[in-house]
Amino acid sequence: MKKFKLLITMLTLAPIFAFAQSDLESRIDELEENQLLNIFSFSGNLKYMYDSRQLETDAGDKQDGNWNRLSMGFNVVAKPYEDITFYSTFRMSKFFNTIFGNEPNEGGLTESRSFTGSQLYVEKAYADVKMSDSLVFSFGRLPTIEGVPTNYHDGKSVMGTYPLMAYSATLDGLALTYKPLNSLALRMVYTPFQGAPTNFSAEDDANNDGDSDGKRVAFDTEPVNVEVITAMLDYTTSFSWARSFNVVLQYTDIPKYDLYHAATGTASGGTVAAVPNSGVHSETTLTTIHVEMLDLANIGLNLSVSHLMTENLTEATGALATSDSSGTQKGSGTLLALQYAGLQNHIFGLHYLSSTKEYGKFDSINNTLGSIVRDSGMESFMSTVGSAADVYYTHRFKPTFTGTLGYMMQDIDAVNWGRFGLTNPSESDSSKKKINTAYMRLNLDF
Amino acid sequence: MKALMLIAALGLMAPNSFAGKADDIVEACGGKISKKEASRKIKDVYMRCVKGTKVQIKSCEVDCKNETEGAKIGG
Repeated sequence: MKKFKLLITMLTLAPIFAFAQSDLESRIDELEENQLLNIFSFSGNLKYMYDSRQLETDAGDKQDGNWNRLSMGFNVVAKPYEDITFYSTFRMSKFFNTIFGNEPNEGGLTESRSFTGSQLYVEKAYADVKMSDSLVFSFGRLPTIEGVPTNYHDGKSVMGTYPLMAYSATLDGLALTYKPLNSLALRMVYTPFQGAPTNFSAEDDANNDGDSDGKRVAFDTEPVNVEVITAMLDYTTSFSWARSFNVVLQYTDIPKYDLYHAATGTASGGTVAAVPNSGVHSETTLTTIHVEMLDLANIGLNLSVSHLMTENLTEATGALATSDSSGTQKGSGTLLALQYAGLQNHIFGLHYLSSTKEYGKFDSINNTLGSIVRDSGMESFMSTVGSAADVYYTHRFKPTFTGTLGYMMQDIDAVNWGRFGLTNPSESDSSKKKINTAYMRLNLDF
Repeated sequence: MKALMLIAALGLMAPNSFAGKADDIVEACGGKISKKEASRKIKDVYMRCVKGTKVQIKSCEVDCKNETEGAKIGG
């Protein structure tokens, strides 16, 4: 009888539980469907930078200055299809409230990081299209900046594809990534540069006006295309003595192009005749070897070594070749980054850069001599012709909220600048100077 | 006996259970922390840490599960 009662009780309760289960399932279904409909995810970054810098030239001139800067980035990731993912970053970088409105203003390849104002730039906007398990096609504004060791200062994961030593510019392009193994990625990146027909002023460029009357000379130019291609091998493995061991070999070719846009047409304002071809050509290659070892000896020691070799070939035989000389310039630079992150909330690190006088860095931030105030930034540290060292301490207040104190010393033999964001030793200010910078950073990722 | 039958019946009617992120953390800690404590650390383990490092939760260390996306072309 008791068993019968129990059975009745169970049978009575069963529909209630069944209803509860059905209700639960429908709610889970609803959650899963909403998850599928929501293809977006968001994150961001806010950074405050304070730099107190002292500059001393060879002639003994001194210039001190303190700078407050701000950078904010907002990341949006969308996954419209299982095999397609879109990544983007919108970034503002600016000096704090300026008095004269004449803060350094450089556009071009790094405009989102040029501290030009509170406007938002598209720093990254590209899609990965998975064509098979081992092949990915990418297109858009690619993550070619902030490579290792940019992430060391704030104790973050890797932030960019190319080692910082190889590139420091935001490039638009197409890429194909082949991953035959999980540990190996082979990439071909096509980042064409192009110039529309334009009125070209010779005097604006290296004072090379091609005549002797001192007047401004202008030409109508033809469109110019330079097909820049980068090949990259990216291999990662692990050993008992290093949690991660990464090797990157990268080769970038900037093929032969006419330095002065193959100027044609009618000259104006001067006496020189039209120049069908300036006769000044340049070709550049950049080869980077990068090795990174993380968690060495399992004590939280990270080491990154990058070596960049640049070769710049100039042919100058034409009418505008008055100040450019033919020849090959070979330069190189080595960057060492050491970081100790073995303590829970404390990170200690140093960077050391050494480069030859012909060192050409793919970095438009150091594109003009007016970039002196920017020399306290990591990118300009990277462009140092001579030697530079940086020591820092980073404290984690929260897992993604850090504060950094550091001191940077730059012994600059020359400042190079040039086209394509590539510093060009042929256009160099050879005056030496020393810059010492004490700096502080606050970084919040959210 | 009755209790066993009731538990068995309820077990049959209950939905299948799936281990969530908090359960994974509890398991990685070998049961040294409660599920509630693990829930509080989900953001640290899945969002805030550096990939390849460990996240300290009381007396245990859990591998960081934060996947860095959008940093390298082609993933």
